[in-house]
Amino acid sequence: MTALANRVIIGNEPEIVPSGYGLPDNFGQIFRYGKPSAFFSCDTSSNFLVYSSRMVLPDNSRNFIGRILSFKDLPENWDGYGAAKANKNAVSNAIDFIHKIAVYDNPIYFVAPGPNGEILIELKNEERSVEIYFSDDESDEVILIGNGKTVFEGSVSKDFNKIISFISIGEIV
Amino acid sequence: MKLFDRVIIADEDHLLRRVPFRNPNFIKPDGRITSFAFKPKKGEDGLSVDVERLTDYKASILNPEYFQLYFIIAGFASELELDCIHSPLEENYAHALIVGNFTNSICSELARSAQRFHS
Repeated sequence: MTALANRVIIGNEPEIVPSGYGLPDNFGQIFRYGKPSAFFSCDTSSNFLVYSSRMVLPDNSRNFIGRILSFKDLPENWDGYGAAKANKNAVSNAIDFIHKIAVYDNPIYFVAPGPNGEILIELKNEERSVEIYFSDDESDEVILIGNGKTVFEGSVSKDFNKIISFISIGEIV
Repeated sequence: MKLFDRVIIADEDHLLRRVPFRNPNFIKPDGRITSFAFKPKKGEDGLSVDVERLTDYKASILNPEYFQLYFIIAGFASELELDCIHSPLEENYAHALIVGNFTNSICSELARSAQRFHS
Protein backbone atom coordinates (compact mmCIF):
# COMPACT_ATOMS: atom_id res chain seq x y z
CA MET A 1 0.00 0.00 0.00
CA THR A 2 1.32 3.42 -0.87
CA ALA A 3 2.37 5.56 2.05
CA LEU A 4 0.07 8.47 2.73
CA ALA A 5 0.81 11.89 4.03
CA ASN A 6 0.70 11.83 7.81
CA ARG A 7 -1.74 14.65 8.24
CA VAL A 8 -4.75 16.08 6.55
CA ILE A 9 -5.29 19.63 7.72
CA ILE A 10 -8.85 20.89 7.93
CA GLY A 11 -9.48 24.49 8.84
CA ASN A 12 -5.84 25.35 9.32
CA GLU A 13 -2.77 26.16 7.28
CA PRO A 14 -1.09 23.06 5.81
CA GLU A 15 2.22 22.11 7.33
CA ILE A 16 4.89 19.53 6.63
CA VAL A 17 4.96 16.76 9.17
CA PRO A 18 7.73 14.15 9.30
CA SER A 19 6.68 10.57 8.66
CA GLY A 20 7.64 7.58 10.72
CA TYR A 21 8.07 7.47 14.52
CA GLY A 22 5.65 4.59 14.81
CA LEU A 23 2.82 5.97 12.67
CA PRO A 24 1.95 3.23 10.17
CA ASP A 25 2.56 4.15 6.55
CA ASN A 26 -1.06 3.59 5.65
CA PHE A 27 -2.38 5.73 8.48
CA GLY A 28 -2.70 9.46 8.71
CA GLN A 29 -4.14 11.84 11.22
CA ILE A 30 -6.83 14.40 10.59
CA PHE A 31 -6.47 17.72 12.34
CA ARG A 32 -9.19 20.28 12.85
CA TYR A 33 -8.01 23.71 13.89
CA GLY A 34 -4.72 22.31 15.12
CA LYS A 35 -6.17 19.51 17.21
CA PRO A 36 -6.24 15.83 16.20
CA SER A 37 -9.79 14.74 15.49
CA ALA A 38 -9.56 11.39 13.72
CA PHE A 39 -7.34 8.92 11.90
CA PHE A 40 -7.62 7.86 8.29
CA SER A 41 -6.41 4.98 6.22
CA CYS A 42 -6.97 3.91 2.64
CA ASP A 43 -7.82 0.67 0.94
CA THR A 44 -6.10 -0.80 -2.09
CA SER A 45 -8.18 1.43 -4.36
CA SER A 46 -6.91 4.49 -2.50
CA ASN A 47 -10.36 5.17 -1.09
CA PHE A 48 -10.08 7.02 2.19
CA LEU A 49 -11.49 5.33 5.24
CA VAL A 50 -11.88 7.72 8.13
CA TYR A 51 -11.92 6.51 11.71
CA SER A 52 -12.88 8.39 14.80
CA SER A 53 -9.88 8.49 17.11
CA ARG A 54 -12.06 6.99 19.82
CA MET A 55 -12.86 4.01 17.61
CA VAL A 56 -9.19 3.06 17.26
CA LEU A 57 -8.12 3.80 20.81
CA PRO A 58 -6.18 0.78 22.16
CA ASP A 59 -7.19 -0.93 25.39
CA ASN A 60 -4.10 0.46 27.14
CA SER A 61 -5.14 4.01 26.31
CA ARG A 62 -8.73 3.45 27.38
CA ASN A 63 -7.58 1.98 30.68
CA PHE A 64 -5.44 5.01 31.44
CA ILE A 65 -8.26 7.38 30.50
CA GLY A 66 -10.43 5.53 33.01
CA ARG A 67 -7.78 6.00 35.68
CA ILE A 68 -7.45 9.70 34.93
CA LEU A 69 -11.22 10.15 35.12
CA SER A 70 -11.21 8.36 38.48
CA PHE A 71 -8.85 11.02 39.87
CA LYS A 72 -11.73 13.49 39.73
CA ASP A 73 -13.43 11.49 42.47
CA LEU A 74 -10.54 11.69 44.94
CA PRO A 75 -11.39 13.56 48.14
CA GLU A 76 -9.55 16.70 49.17
CA ASN A 77 -6.31 15.89 51.03
CA TRP A 78 -6.10 12.46 49.42
CA ASP A 79 -2.30 12.36 49.96
CA GLY A 80 -2.33 13.31 53.64
CA TYR A 81 -0.40 16.49 52.79
CA GLY A 82 -3.35 18.65 51.67
CA ALA A 83 -3.62 17.71 47.98
CA ALA A 84 -6.37 19.23 45.85
CA LYS A 85 -8.83 17.36 43.65
CA ALA A 86 -7.83 16.74 40.04
CA ASN A 87 -8.48 19.83 37.94
CA LYS A 88 -10.98 19.42 35.10
CA ASN A 89 -8.81 21.32 32.59
CA ALA A 90 -5.81 19.17 33.41
CA VAL A 91 -7.94 16.02 33.11
CA SER A 92 -9.36 17.13 29.77
CA ASN A 93 -5.96 18.05 28.31
CA ALA A 94 -4.41 14.80 29.51
CA ILE A 95 -7.17 12.78 27.84
CA ASP A 96 -6.76 14.81 24.63
CA PHE A 97 -3.08 13.92 24.69
CA ILE A 98 -3.85 10.22 25.05
CA HIS A 99 -6.07 10.46 21.95
CA LYS A 100 -3.34 12.32 20.11
CA ILE A 101 -0.64 9.80 20.89
CA ALA A 102 -2.79 6.68 20.52
CA VAL A 103 -1.85 6.09 16.88
CA TYR A 104 1.85 5.88 17.72
CA ASP A 105 3.28 2.64 18.98
CA ASN A 106 4.24 4.03 22.37
CA PRO A 107 2.10 2.67 25.17
CA ILE A 108 1.49 4.89 28.12
CA TYR A 109 3.28 3.59 31.20
CA PHE A 110 1.86 5.49 34.14
CA VAL A 111 -0.54 8.26 35.12
CA ALA A 112 -0.91 10.12 38.41
CA PRO A 113 -2.69 13.12 39.94
CA GLY A 114 -0.62 15.95 41.43
CA PRO A 115 -1.07 17.86 44.69
CA ASN A 116 -2.34 20.96 42.88
CA GLY A 117 -4.81 19.17 40.61
CA GLU A 118 -2.26 18.45 37.88
CA ILE A 119 -2.13 15.25 35.85
CA LEU A 120 1.06 13.40 34.92
CA ILE A 121 1.33 11.02 31.97
CA GLU A 122 4.50 8.98 31.61
CA LEU A 123 5.66 7.15 28.50
CA LYS A 124 8.42 4.57 28.77
CA ASN A 125 10.58 2.61 26.38
CA GLU A 126 13.49 0.67 27.86
CA GLU A 127 15.75 3.23 29.63
CA ARG A 128 13.94 6.23 28.13
CA SER A 129 10.91 7.89 29.64
CA VAL A 130 8.89 11.01 28.99
CA GLU A 131 7.01 12.83 31.74
CA ILE A 132 4.18 15.08 30.57
CA TYR A 133 2.60 17.42 33.11
CA PHE A 134 -0.82 19.01 32.55
CA SER A 135 -1.51 21.90 34.91
CA ASP A 136 -4.73 23.46 36.13
CA ASP A 137 -3.89 26.67 34.23
CA GLU A 138 -3.94 24.86 30.84
CA SER A 139 -0.15 24.90 30.58
CA ASP A 140 1.88 21.76 30.07
CA GLU A 141 5.48 20.69 30.47
CA VAL A 142 7.49 17.83 29.04
CA ILE A 143 10.64 16.24 30.49
CA LEU A 144 12.62 13.70 28.47
CA ILE A 145 14.68 11.34 30.62
CA GLY A 146 17.37 8.96 29.38
CA ASN A 147 19.20 6.55 31.68
CA GLY A 148 17.88 8.39 34.73
CA LYS A 149 19.03 11.83 33.58
CA THR A 150 16.96 14.73 32.30
CA VAL A 151 18.00 15.36 28.70
CA PHE A 152 15.39 17.86 27.51
CA GLU A 153 12.59 20.05 28.87
CA GLY A 154 9.86 21.62 26.76
CA SER A 155 6.13 21.65 26.08
CA VAL A 156 3.65 19.41 24.28
CA SER A 157 2.63 22.02 21.74
CA LYS A 158 6.18 22.93 20.70
CA ASP A 159 7.89 19.61 21.14
CA PHE A 160 5.42 16.88 20.20
CA ASN A 161 7.71 15.48 17.51
CA LYS A 162 10.59 15.40 20.00
CA ILE A 163 8.46 13.36 22.39
CA ILE A 164 7.66 10.81 19.71
CA SER A 165 11.17 10.60 18.26
CA PHE A 166 12.84 10.33 21.66
CA ILE A 167 10.59 7.64 23.05
CA SER A 168 10.57 5.70 19.76
CA ILE A 169 14.16 5.80 18.59
CA GLY A 170 16.07 7.66 21.31
CA GLU A 171 16.79 10.74 19.25
CA ILE A 172 15.57 14.26 19.87
CA VAL A 173 14.57 15.50 16.43
CA MET B 1 14.21 17.00 74.03
CA LYS B 2 12.22 20.20 74.16
CA LEU B 3 9.43 20.66 71.66
CA PHE B 4 10.95 23.55 69.80
CA ASP B 5 14.62 22.68 70.06
CA ARG B 6 15.74 22.67 66.46
CA VAL B 7 18.40 20.43 65.04
CA ILE B 8 20.69 21.07 62.14
CA ILE B 9 19.92 18.72 59.27
CA ALA B 10 23.13 17.13 58.06
CA ASP B 11 23.87 16.11 54.48
CA GLU B 12 23.74 12.46 55.46
CA ASP B 13 20.33 12.71 57.14
CA HIS B 14 17.50 10.67 55.69
CA LEU B 15 14.28 12.61 55.07
CA LEU B 16 11.10 10.52 55.06
CA ARG B 17 8.09 11.12 52.86
CA ARG B 18 4.81 9.21 52.76
CA VAL B 19 3.91 7.88 49.31
CA PRO B 20 0.37 6.62 48.54
CA PHE B 21 0.20 3.24 46.80
CA ARG B 22 -3.53 2.52 46.45
CA ASN B 23 -5.77 5.06 44.73
CA PRO B 24 -3.97 7.05 43.62
CA ASN B 25 -0.86 4.94 43.31
CA PHE B 26 2.41 6.88 43.17
CA ILE B 27 4.53 3.76 42.78
CA LYS B 28 5.20 2.71 39.20
CA PRO B 29 5.30 -0.91 38.03
CA ASP B 30 9.12 -0.86 38.09
CA GLY B 31 9.15 0.29 41.74
CA ARG B 32 10.14 3.89 41.06
CA ILE B 33 7.90 6.63 42.38
CA THR B 34 6.31 9.54 40.58
CA SER B 35 7.70 13.05 40.89
CA PHE B 36 4.39 14.17 42.42
CA ALA B 37 5.45 12.40 45.62
CA PHE B 38 7.96 15.24 46.08
CA LYS B 39 5.90 18.17 44.88
CA PRO B 40 4.52 20.62 47.46
CA LYS B 41 1.11 22.17 47.21
CA LYS B 42 0.95 25.77 45.95
CA GLY B 43 1.18 28.27 48.79
CA GLU B 44 2.94 25.91 51.15
CA ASP B 45 6.17 26.93 52.82
CA GLY B 46 7.95 23.85 51.55
CA LEU B 47 7.77 20.09 51.21
CA SER B 48 6.93 18.33 54.47
CA VAL B 49 9.19 15.45 55.47
CA ASP B 50 10.26 13.76 58.69
CA VAL B 51 13.88 13.51 59.83
CA GLU B 52 14.46 9.78 60.23
CA ARG B 53 16.71 9.99 63.31
CA LEU B 54 14.02 11.98 65.17
CA THR B 55 11.14 9.59 64.53
CA ASP B 56 10.31 5.97 63.85
CA TYR B 57 8.55 4.05 61.12
CA LYS B 58 5.21 3.76 62.88
CA ALA B 59 4.95 7.42 63.79
CA SER B 60 5.97 8.62 60.37
CA ILE B 61 3.87 6.40 58.13
CA LEU B 62 0.55 7.27 59.83
CA ASN B 63 -1.43 4.71 57.80
CA PRO B 64 0.44 1.69 56.36
CA GLU B 65 -2.73 0.59 54.58
CA TYR B 66 -2.48 3.61 52.33
CA PHE B 67 1.15 4.78 52.39
CA GLN B 68 4.65 3.46 51.98
CA LEU B 69 7.64 5.37 53.33
CA TYR B 70 10.47 6.56 51.11
CA PHE B 71 13.53 8.60 51.97
CA ILE B 72 15.83 10.97 50.19
CA ILE B 73 19.27 12.01 51.39
CA ALA B 74 19.39 15.62 52.57
CA GLY B 75 22.69 16.23 50.79
CA PHE B 76 21.08 15.38 47.45
CA ALA B 77 18.36 18.00 48.03
CA SER B 78 21.13 20.51 48.77
CA GLU B 79 22.80 19.63 45.46
CA LEU B 80 19.55 20.67 43.78
CA GLU B 81 19.79 24.02 45.62
CA LEU B 82 17.03 23.14 48.06
CA ASP B 83 17.33 23.86 51.79
CA CYS B 84 16.35 21.39 54.50
CA ILE B 85 15.06 23.01 57.68
CA HIS B 86 13.92 21.31 60.86
CA SER B 87 10.44 22.65 61.54
CA PRO B 88 8.95 20.77 64.50
CA LEU B 89 5.21 20.65 64.96
CA GLU B 90 3.38 20.19 68.21
CA GLU B 91 2.25 16.74 67.10
CA ASN B 92 5.42 15.83 65.19
CA TYR B 93 8.84 16.86 66.47
CA ALA B 94 10.57 15.20 63.50
CA HIS B 95 8.84 17.42 60.95
CA ALA B 96 11.07 19.31 58.54
CA LEU B 97 10.61 21.37 55.42
CA ILE B 98 12.49 21.21 52.17
CA VAL B 99 12.31 24.68 50.67
CA GLY B 100 13.32 26.13 47.32
CA ASN B 101 12.21 26.14 43.72
CA PHE B 102 10.25 22.94 43.12
CA THR B 103 10.07 22.72 39.35
CA ASN B 104 8.70 19.52 37.86
CA SER B 105 12.24 18.66 36.85
CA ILE B 106 13.53 19.07 40.41
CA CYS B 107 10.66 16.98 41.79
CA SER B 108 11.44 14.32 39.20
CA GLU B 109 15.11 14.25 40.28
CA LEU B 110 14.11 13.89 43.94
CA ALA B 111 11.77 11.03 43.07
CA ARG B 112 14.44 9.24 41.07
CA SER B 113 16.77 9.40 44.07
CA ALA B 114 14.20 8.16 46.60
CA GLN B 115 14.60 4.80 48.28
CA ARG B 116 12.10 2.67 50.15
CA PHE B 117 12.25 2.87 53.95
CA HIS B 118 11.23 -0.33 55.66
CA SER B 119 10.12 -0.83 59.21
